[in-house]
Amino acid sequence: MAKKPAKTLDPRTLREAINWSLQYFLNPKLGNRTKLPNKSELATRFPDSQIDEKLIEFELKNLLGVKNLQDLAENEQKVSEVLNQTNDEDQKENHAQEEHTAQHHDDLESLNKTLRSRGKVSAFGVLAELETIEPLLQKHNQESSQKLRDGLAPQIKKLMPILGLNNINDQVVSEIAQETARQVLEDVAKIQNPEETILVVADSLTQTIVTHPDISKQLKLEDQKVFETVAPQLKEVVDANQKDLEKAAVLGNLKQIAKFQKPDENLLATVSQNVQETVEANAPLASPEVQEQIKASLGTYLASYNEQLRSKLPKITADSIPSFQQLQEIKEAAHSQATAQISTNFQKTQAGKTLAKTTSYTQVASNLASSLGLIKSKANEPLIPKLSAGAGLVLSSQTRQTEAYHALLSYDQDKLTTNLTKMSEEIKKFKDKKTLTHKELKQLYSLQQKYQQLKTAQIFSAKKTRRASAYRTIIATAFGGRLDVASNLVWAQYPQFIYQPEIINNNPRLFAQAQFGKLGFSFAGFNPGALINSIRSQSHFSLGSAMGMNPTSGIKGAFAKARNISGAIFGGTMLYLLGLGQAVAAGAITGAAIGGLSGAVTGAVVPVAMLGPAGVLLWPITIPLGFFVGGTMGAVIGGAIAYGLSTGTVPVVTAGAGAAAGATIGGIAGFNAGLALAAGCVVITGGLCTPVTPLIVLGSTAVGSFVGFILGGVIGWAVGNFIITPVFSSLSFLSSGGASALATGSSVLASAGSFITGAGSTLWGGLTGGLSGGFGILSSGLNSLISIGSTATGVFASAPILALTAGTVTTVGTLGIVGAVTTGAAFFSLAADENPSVTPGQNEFFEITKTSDVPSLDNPPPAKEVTFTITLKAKSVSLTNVKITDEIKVQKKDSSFNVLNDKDGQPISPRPCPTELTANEACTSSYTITVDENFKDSTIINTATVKATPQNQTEKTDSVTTTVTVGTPPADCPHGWPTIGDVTQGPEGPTSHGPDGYEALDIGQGTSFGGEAKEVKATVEGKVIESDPRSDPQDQRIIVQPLTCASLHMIFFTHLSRRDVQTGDTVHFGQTIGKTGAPLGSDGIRQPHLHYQFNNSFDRSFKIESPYVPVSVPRACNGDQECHTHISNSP
Amino acid sequence: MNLQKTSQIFTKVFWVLPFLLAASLLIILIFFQVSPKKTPPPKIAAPEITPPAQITSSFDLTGIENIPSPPKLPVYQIFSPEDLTQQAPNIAEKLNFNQTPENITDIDLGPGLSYSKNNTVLNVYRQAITYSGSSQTKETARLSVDDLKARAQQFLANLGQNTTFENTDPIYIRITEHDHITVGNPQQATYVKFSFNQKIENYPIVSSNIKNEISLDFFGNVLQFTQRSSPKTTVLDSYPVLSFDQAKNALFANKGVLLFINQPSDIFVKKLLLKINKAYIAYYQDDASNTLLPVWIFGGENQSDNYIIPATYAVFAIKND
Repeated sequence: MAKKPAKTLDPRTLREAINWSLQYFLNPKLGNRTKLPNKSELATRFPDSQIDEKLIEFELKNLLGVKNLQDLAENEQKVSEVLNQTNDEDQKENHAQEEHTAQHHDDLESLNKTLRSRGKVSAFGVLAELETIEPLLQKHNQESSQKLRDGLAPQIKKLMPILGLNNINDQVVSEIAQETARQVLEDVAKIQNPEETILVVADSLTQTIVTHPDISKQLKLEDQKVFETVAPQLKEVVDANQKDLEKAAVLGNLKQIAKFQKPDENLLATVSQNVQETVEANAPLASPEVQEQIKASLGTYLASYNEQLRSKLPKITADSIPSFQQLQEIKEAAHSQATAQISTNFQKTQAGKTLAKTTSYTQVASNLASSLGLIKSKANEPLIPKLSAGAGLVLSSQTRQTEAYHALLSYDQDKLTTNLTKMSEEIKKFKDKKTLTHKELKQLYSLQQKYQQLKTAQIFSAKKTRRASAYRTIIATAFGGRLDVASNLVWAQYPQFIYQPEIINNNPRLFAQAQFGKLGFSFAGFNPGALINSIRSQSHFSLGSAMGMNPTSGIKGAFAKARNISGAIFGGTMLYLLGLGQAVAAGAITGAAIGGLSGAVTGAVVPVAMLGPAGVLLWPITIPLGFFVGGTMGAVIGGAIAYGLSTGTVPVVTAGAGAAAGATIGGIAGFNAGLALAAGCVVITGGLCTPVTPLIVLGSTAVGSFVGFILGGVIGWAVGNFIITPVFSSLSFLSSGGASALATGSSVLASAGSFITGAGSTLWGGLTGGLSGGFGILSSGLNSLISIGSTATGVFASAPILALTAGTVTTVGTLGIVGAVTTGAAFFSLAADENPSVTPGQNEFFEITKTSDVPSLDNPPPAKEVTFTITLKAKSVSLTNVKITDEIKVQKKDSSFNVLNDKDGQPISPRPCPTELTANEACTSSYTITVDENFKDSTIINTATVKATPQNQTEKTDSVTTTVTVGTPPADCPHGWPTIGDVTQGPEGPTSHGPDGYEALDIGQGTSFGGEAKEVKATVEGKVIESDPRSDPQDQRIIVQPLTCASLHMIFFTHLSRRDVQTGDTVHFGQTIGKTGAPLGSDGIRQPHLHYQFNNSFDRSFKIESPYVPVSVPRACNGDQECHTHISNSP
Repeated sequence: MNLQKTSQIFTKVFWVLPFLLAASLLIILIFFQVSPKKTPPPKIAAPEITPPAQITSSFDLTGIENIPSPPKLPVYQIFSPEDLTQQAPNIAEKLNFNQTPENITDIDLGPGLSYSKNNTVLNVYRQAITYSGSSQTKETARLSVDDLKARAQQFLANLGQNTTFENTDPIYIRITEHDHITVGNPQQATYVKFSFNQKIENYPIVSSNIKNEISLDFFGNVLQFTQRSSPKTTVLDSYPVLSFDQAKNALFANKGVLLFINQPSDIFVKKLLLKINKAYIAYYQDDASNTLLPVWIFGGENQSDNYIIPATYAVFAIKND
């Protein structure tokens, strides 16, 4: 084949030139079937095109498969085909250009051109006859719908009480059955396996139940629970309707494929997107040019697939509908042949060769076909197989998977924001409708769930930036740094052409699990996912197999089972400790396990190496000895490094590392000393010593390791304490690893240390500690082998060999430690920047309760007494540096004062409590105060604050308040909520209130602007000191000055769309003063909410907490999920 | 002619003289009876302006030179005030609202109709229109201020308002997480605001509860628009007007009323020290009396408390005594 001249041309111009050249060629006067137009003639006709006769000749030869112009002249039929073809394409392109705007995306255009070019196929236009399927499908669904409804209704009726829904009438049951049947027949078109029908029915019924307007308010169960409850009850109904459902699935599936025949712009865009994502996922590192070529070939593949499908499908009539299995086989065959057809040529191209380095063309085409539902889908295959074991361990819990999923979703912030906006608008459209059908209600529900997921991802990435970044770093390792690809994969998990249960789509945990799979370390038997997986795994579907749930058999199976059990025990223990923040314990266990194993191996190797098979007799001594020594040192080293890393204590990290290196060197030295001792003993005793020489060698090695361990640890500590910390603390540019340590001016390793907590410390501390601890023993074993091997072969164990070995092992060990620590610092920053918003009195480490013996008192005289009791209980970790302070503030109408002493004159603060509490230990303290006439008509506000340092954590502070009313306390302090909605930001929320900003709450009224404005009510008796329309009608403001409420001077009601009071008016508690509005956000988008603020900015003297609002909101919370305060009543 | 002759003539016409005198008196009497009485104009009460906020201010007028004022200015009676709610469906249609409106009542603007759609809300009151939008579309490039001005004019023209912004300085505003702050140039701004005061006889018309202004983001989306209807008026009478010095003294004597203030979103400052930087005569549209009343406007910015708070006071300009 002629070499193609390297030119870039407009394809349309080229087609015109070919057409004209052929006409020229055929013209008896011009070409006379002997010549093509020359360069100047072409240049005149097609100026600026750079087309010459060589190019035309090249294209014609390729198009017609002729070797020369003589062949062309003799094959008039081919010539006319080309002429017709180019004319057709021009017409099509003209038509297409009229239809489509010029702003088509390049990729889509490229795909379209590919699909329309080459002349061999006519894109999706090969399935014309499939249009006849639609009426068949309609008829079938009409007939089968009634049967399905009739079957479902009695089951639904039975299920209602089980779901805690009583008094559900037959009408509602009938509605649910009808809507479920409708959705089932719609969704079943996307299934890839007949066994999925039960999944479709259960999922559809679940969604229908939870969204039914008469039920949703009564239903107390979560969607998952509903699904779990209904699914087992539906088997009978599904079995009875299985044939109808399969038929509906076949016809629906064919209809779906038939839509490709006349794709609208959206479908083309979706297909183009699927092609794009397939290429990016399979050839992420390929150059853009190569990716373009792969895309083009996939376009050709699609056309070829359709051609193959057409040739294989029988004529579809009411009496001749293929079974599900037959259809699948036809689709698979069409796919195989199309792939084979395209791949042969493609693999010869440069792009094909590039692709072949990482994957096969067949695989890529299969992935695309799978995503489009053209073959059995591979949807939901988790990303986890692509991740390394270490990353897999981190992502083995559902919580971490969910967070990683949110981290990936939020990688492309623009995409996230755009989708949020789009969803918000879609939700708004639904809400604008006065009435919604049940189908629309379900769509709205699904949208809201997805919106919530995206919103959570947005908040997660905004609030826990470094944590999100750490997850991305982990995942990036599996994608060659192409996080965009990983992110796209996550975004693409809303498949359009294949069935995905809404129960998964709507649940971030299940959804994340679908992305990341489930390692053996997580225990099974958990949730609806298990049911889904079992259904799918029975049919060899992807989720089950990906999660290791497929049965195994034989020796391999037994081994796998044993491995899984041990993995589960070990991993479960580790996860348990990780979950508790027990980094040290987890690190020590890991170190002990690895060190012990290494020591045991050495204990086994040395006797055999020295004594031959007889050495086995010493195993009962040597193996436990090796296990004990290696395990002990591994545990200490692992625990130390984990502790150092998790707390940012540099000397401890270096002591651990030093001990590891010392143990290695000491072990080698001890081994050699042991050899010398053993040799001496043999000589002195005349050979009597020989049977115990391994014990001498091993014992000496153990002693050497231990001594080295101690010395190394001391030296390491000194280096960390006296060199690293002082030197590196001044090198701030090195301390990018940890922001917290930057603030305190600590060292680079301290930075890394405080940066790495929990999981990272545990893993890397444990691994390095274990390896190091075992290294001393193991290296001696290696030395032993080398030495004895050398001796056996007549070569004396020379000093150089020993030195070389020792040096190598030590270097490798040290580098390993350094590498591990560095890698850990880079990856495992998961817990470092957590700033969990806590409910007052409740956090992950301890719980405070504060009670009074009476809730209220009559006015004195006579004087009365109130006893306050505070209980601090450590949760699953021990607490040190415990300090409890107590404050009593008495709020009166015109004044306030503090109570400092109890009735006996003893100070009420600090409260007596041990400074250390073990896990689950509690400390209780009580005192009594006298309520005299000074307390008349007041509120006694008692706040207890606890400061404590949980094990392996930095200091935590939490507080809790209780109140006692005396007489008639002032009504002029605010109480109740000003409006209804969800609290979306606490007083110290990071979005806008900030740690030093506003003592305010944001109460959101929905997700989109224009949502129903809610009435705003006065929460206090007071006077309006401002009622300002301000500039924006949706952002007006009212400020009420309480008549008298101590240090509370102003209450702001900001972002109003309506004001009902004017400046100077007196307002009463509960009076409607306006309606909520929607201020412009910094992105120009409006978010409806009320900003309810006490006093001016930066004045936090009067807390917006209980009792001035009904419930204290987590102060640093951001977003309704974190603030978890839903307000359904206002005064 | 001798004395006797003269005496004879006088004697002959003497009897006519009383008649002439009586007739003259009668004519004079009739004239005064028929001609209208000239009465002094009625007293005009100061408008009852409800200030947007209860604050106390002290004023610094250093640097403000004496501003000449006419001795008299007319007070205008607003007749048949335009009821925009009658035009609400038409206005709504022009802005692509096709939903059924909701009846609303504003504390200042009275009853009205409210339309909402996607990210926009249109409220039409009897004498005012308010509109709230958002950045729904984002073009690839930010528009120039001139382009935005043209878009604003186009938006207003669509509503039948031929407003120009020739003499209006745009205000550039940036939305931060905490507030809307005025910035110096469009590059730093999130949106731009144009004000367009209506005028009568070249005096601007002001009111306490609504400004005529329109804000657009840099992609041309109208974020906010508020406007009062143009009043149709007739002259009631002319009144002597306070001079600048007299108005200044009235301001110092706390006879001014706060008309506008722009406190930060989360701050309320109760006492202001206003450095006055502009003073002029304007007409205050008083809905209670349906009149346009001349007022002296004193505008400035707060000089204390670290917050720049623009505020505008009005002093009733009619000299009643």
